This record gives sequence, structure tokens and C-alpha cells, in this order.
Amino acid sequence: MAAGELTVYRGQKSWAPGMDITASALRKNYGRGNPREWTEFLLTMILDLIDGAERGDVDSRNQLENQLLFSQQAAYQNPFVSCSRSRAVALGFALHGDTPGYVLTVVGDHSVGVDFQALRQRFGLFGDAVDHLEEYGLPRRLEQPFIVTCVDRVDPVGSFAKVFP
Amino acid sequence: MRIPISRSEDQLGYFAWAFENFHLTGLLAEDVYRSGLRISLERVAAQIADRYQSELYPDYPLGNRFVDPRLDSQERYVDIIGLNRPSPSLLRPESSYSADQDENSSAALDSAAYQAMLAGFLGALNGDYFALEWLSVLMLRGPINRQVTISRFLFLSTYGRIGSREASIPTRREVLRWAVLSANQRYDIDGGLPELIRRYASAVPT
Repeated sequence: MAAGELTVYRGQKSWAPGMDITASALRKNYGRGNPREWTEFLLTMILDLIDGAERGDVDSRNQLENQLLFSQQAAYQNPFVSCSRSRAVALGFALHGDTPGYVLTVVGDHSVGVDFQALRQRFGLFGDAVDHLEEYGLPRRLEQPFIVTCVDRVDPVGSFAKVFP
Repeated sequence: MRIPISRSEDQLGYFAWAFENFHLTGLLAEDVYRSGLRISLERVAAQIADRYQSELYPDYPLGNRFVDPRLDSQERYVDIIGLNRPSPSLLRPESSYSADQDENSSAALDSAAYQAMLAGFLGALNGDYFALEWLSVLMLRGPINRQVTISRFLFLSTYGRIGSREASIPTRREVLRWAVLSANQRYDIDGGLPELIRRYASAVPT
């Protein structure tokens, strides 16, 4: 693995070659105006809060703690494509509801996305149970420098089949 | 949150999360934060109880209800989904499973469900079983992350009788079982708002 290269996983219910995989905030109009502008607003806010927390600003750190929890609980508040560092978590998402799904293996540059668990550890933030999801968020959509390297179709009885490449 | 939460203080973490972010108690949390221990614990607990009840009790007189203009939705979750009581949905859970999933959601529903979850935390932490049943409804109908969060909270609140503390995603069968159990049984739940308020006020950095 090259320096700075990261492998993450994503579980979802449907998949097709070339599928546009986007952040939930970007996926549809939630009544917050243009979804692209709304997504950029959220991204800017979260990245600013991270910068502030890194500078030692207490208010930024506190607001970041709340916003990460909010982003993980409300689809329209999440400007990231949610992936996980854990394949087991992605498998859980793929099989949610005890129906078949897909697990995507995604490789890219670590510095591009937001690692929720690492942020919580770094700044001592409350993570609730969602911290166990080891979420790694890709901003806006799954695109370069991240690529899908493998897709498995999985089902609840435990079988799986590689459908890509 | 405005106070530091250690990893061993789950209950205080849920309380602080809800107290600061539930739209009807956010300003109250600011007051407590500024005043520290110079507050009446019982009075603040009564105010919190009144406010979470106004969110979760369908027959609460809404004319008395304060609404935060910063809120994305002024609709209550209980009104959006049109349930007067949680138990009928919990006792027949199949048809409600994941009904609030992403593809069906709107900002209004998402926001209202988030607020109801926070209100549910405060209610359950007050020992109010009705609030715990609403949390079960939110878990049953919710997307995965909400199921993960609430199943852990239920585990903590019911001394492990329902919910899970495992770092895994609950299966459909587990969620359906917990829904039925939460309506069928009246588990003892660990509640005590005044003590949590005291711990919150004590943790304010000086």
C-alpha cells in the first residue's frame, strides 16, 4: 500500500457499474435549497470546525462534537459518502433488514476524507454507539482520488459473489 | 458538548447530548452552564420534564409550547407519523420496520426524528417509560445509525434487558424482538434527572 493510501468499505443495497455514489445531503432536495450548495455549506462548516479544534478553539471543538453526532443521525446533515474502515460494518449495512446487498472496497488518499473515529479520539469527543461504525466520510461523492477496487454481492445466508472486477 | 465526557460516562454523555441539542432545552442548558451549581436541581429537572413531554406526548397542550425558530422543522415526530401511542406500532412491528429510512425521509422527518430521539433520551433518563417506548418506535422505524444508537441507549437504560452494547449492527430480528419486548414488558429503567443535572453542572470547566 502506498504512503497515505487508505482502504475503506461501503455497504449498500444496490450497485451497478459506473453508479454515481453521492453523499446523502447531495442525493435529493431536502428543502434546504440547492443540494449542491447545501452540501458545500455543510462541508465548509465541518472543515472549519476541525480547523478550529486543531487550533485549540474550545467552541469549535464543542460544536464539532455535536455536528458529528447530528451528521450521523440525519441524512440531510451528512455531506459525506459514508464508508467504514471495517469490512464487518459495511457488511452489516449491506445486509440490513436481512436482505442481500453489496460491499464495495474503496481505495484512495487518506488525507481527502474525514475519519470520524480518529477525530473523536484526537479531540476527546463523545461518540455514542456510532463511533463503533468507524465511519470514514468521502466528501460529496465517490470519485478520484478514491476508486472502487472490488464489489461483492452478499446475502444473509452467508454466501457472497464477486461482481466487480 | 460544553462539558468533557469521559468514555466511562455514557449516561452523562447522552444527557449532555440531549440537554444541549434538544431544541426545547438548549437555552436551559446554556443557563445551567453559566450558573454552574447555583441552580435548583429539582426546578431544572421539572423544566426538562415539561419540555420533553411537550415533544413526545401527543395530547400535550401545544398552545403552551415554546418553539425554537432555528429549528428546521416545527412539526413533531409524533404528529408526522400520526401515532397517538407507541405501543400499537411496537406490538405489530413488521410493517413499521425501517419506515423512516433514507429514501423515505425528508429534512422535516429527519429533523423531527432527531429531536424526538433527544427528547426520548431525556425522558428515559427521567425514568419515564413512555419516552422509552417512543425510543423503541424511533429505533424500529429508523435508519441504521439510529438503530445502533438507540439499541445501545436502551441496553444502558434497561440494565441489558433490551438493546445491545455490541459494536455491531442490530439485525432485523433483534430490532423486531426488542420492539415487542419494550411494549410488552415494563422494565425498570435507570432514571434520575436531578443527579445528572448536578453532574453536568459540576463538570462545567471553571
